[in-house]
Amino acid sequence: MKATLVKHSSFFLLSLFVMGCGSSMDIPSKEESQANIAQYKLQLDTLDAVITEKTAGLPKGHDLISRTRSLAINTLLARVVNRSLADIHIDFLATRPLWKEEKSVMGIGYTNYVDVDTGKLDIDLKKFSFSNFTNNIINAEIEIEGTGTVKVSGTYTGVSTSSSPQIHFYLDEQIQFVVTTADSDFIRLNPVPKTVLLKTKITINLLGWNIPYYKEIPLQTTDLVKPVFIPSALRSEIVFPIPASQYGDQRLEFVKRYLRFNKSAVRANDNVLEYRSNIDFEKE
Amino acid sequence: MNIQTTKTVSTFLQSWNVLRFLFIENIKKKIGYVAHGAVIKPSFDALVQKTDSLVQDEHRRALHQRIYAKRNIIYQMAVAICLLGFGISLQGCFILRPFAGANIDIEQLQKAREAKVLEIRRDGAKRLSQRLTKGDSISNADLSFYFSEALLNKAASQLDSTTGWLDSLTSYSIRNIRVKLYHGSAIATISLAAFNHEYDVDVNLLMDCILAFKIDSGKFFATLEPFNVVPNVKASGMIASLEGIIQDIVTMKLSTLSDNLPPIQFPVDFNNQFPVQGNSVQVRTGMNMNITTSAQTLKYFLVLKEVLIFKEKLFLAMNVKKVGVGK
Repeated sequence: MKATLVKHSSFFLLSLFVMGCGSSMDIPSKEESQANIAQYKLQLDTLDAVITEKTAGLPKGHDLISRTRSLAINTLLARVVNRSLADIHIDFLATRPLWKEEKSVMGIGYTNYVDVDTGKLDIDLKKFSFSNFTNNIINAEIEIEGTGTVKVSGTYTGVSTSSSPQIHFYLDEQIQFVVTTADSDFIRLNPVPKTVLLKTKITINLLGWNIPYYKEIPLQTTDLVKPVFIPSALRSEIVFPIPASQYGDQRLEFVKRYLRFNKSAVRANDNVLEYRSNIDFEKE
Repeated sequence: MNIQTTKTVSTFLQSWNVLRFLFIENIKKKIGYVAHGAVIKPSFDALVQKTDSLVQDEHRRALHQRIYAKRNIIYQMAVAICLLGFGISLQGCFILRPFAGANIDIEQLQKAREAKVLEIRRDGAKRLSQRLTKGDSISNADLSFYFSEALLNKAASQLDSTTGWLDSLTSYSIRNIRVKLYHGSAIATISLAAFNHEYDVDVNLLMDCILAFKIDSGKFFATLEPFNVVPNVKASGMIASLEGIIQDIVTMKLSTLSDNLPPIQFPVDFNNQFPVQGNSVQVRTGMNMNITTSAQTLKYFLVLKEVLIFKEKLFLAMNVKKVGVGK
């Protein structure tokens, strides 16, 4: 009887041990958790109030809002500007005449003229930067300068001759851009139409005849400067990793989604370019 | 019968305890798993550290070998349980309960889960408050992004209804992922089902995960780091006594789930390039000439300054680090 009792007791204790193993939960009791919840909520409320007050001015209302400082854009543009001294290339075409004058000696008329025959010139983009963003207008400064040679020919007092004088180009203007809403991953800046002046200076010497040629060639900003695309650092497509549907060596497989931008808006103010958009992911 | 029964029970209990302490308890210690109920982590850092060590393939292979080596023992034990169940229950010793995990207090679990979520939120809010008080202005960055909670959920929902594999016999299906952004913390709740094809066992899981934001190869993404796991076993055609054991086996495999979960990708690229358009202007005023500029590609690299999480929005601050030009 005693032996049986011992056996049963041993079994009972062992069973309790197993039950204890299986049911032992390290999680706190309901009361402990409830106390923690009350404490954390109190602390959270205080912290949330402080943070909410400090972040009241943060933008909201779209899936994505990006803000780019003019300084950052200028950093990128500076790299383009400083890349080389031959940013702009000019091919001179025949210009006949570039300059001419009618003369008369003892009743005999003749024409002195100078033609441009050909020539090539590289010009340095010395400066292209955004000076300020105000009310969706972006003011920019552009400066280009270059010196080269051009082949000219002409006739002076009836004698034909040719020469290769130096030609100098210079442009220093303020131009403007307007930001346009683009439902894409770029922000487009369109130049505001304006006439800028490319200052041209040639000193031509033909047979001792000095012809100072100075002309301001009018150019349209819309011709001279193409729209500038400011990258948003967003991607127009994205490859999402998802679990591999078949068992194998690869745990993940990838699906491509295209970003569809909608309700986009761009605002340029206080030297910040702000872009807002809602984004949907579309299948291939 | 008693002698035979006691011997069998003793053998079973010894085997079971060896089994438990050999791998089940060991695994639980490693990942902070708590029997049949929830993973309530003491700290997130500890989870990451422990999970990292656990997920090594070598360890996992060894673990699987040990699990399958013990499978026969489990079957033997199941038979023993069936034979002994009736006699034992007559003696008032309900040995099946702990294995089946039927004594979980759901309310206790829910409270613990809620407390853990709040603790993480509190810690995050504390860090954010300190950052806003002491750091420089958050607008002091070349480029800053605000991602809405809605966008994060659109990205996360790409994983909805996808199926993956923990091993050749255990698949999992992500039902849905929902992300909530609080001041200082981002928490994703994943509704997931794991299915063990060998035992025909479903484990439905609700996982609370911290979103950890990372950059790799110029891409920005969020990884999911579970800190609360609430499994709920549904076995079909199995005796109740096996549920707990199988649940343990399945949940052990689930312990490596964070290693399997795909990251949530963001549409931000830190290695960027954009074209600078070429141009050609024909001048026919004064002097005939063609002015041309060649097309260029501007390449730039952004460096992440900081990531801050606010209520319903994620903030990224970046600075331009390198700029180059190519043709």
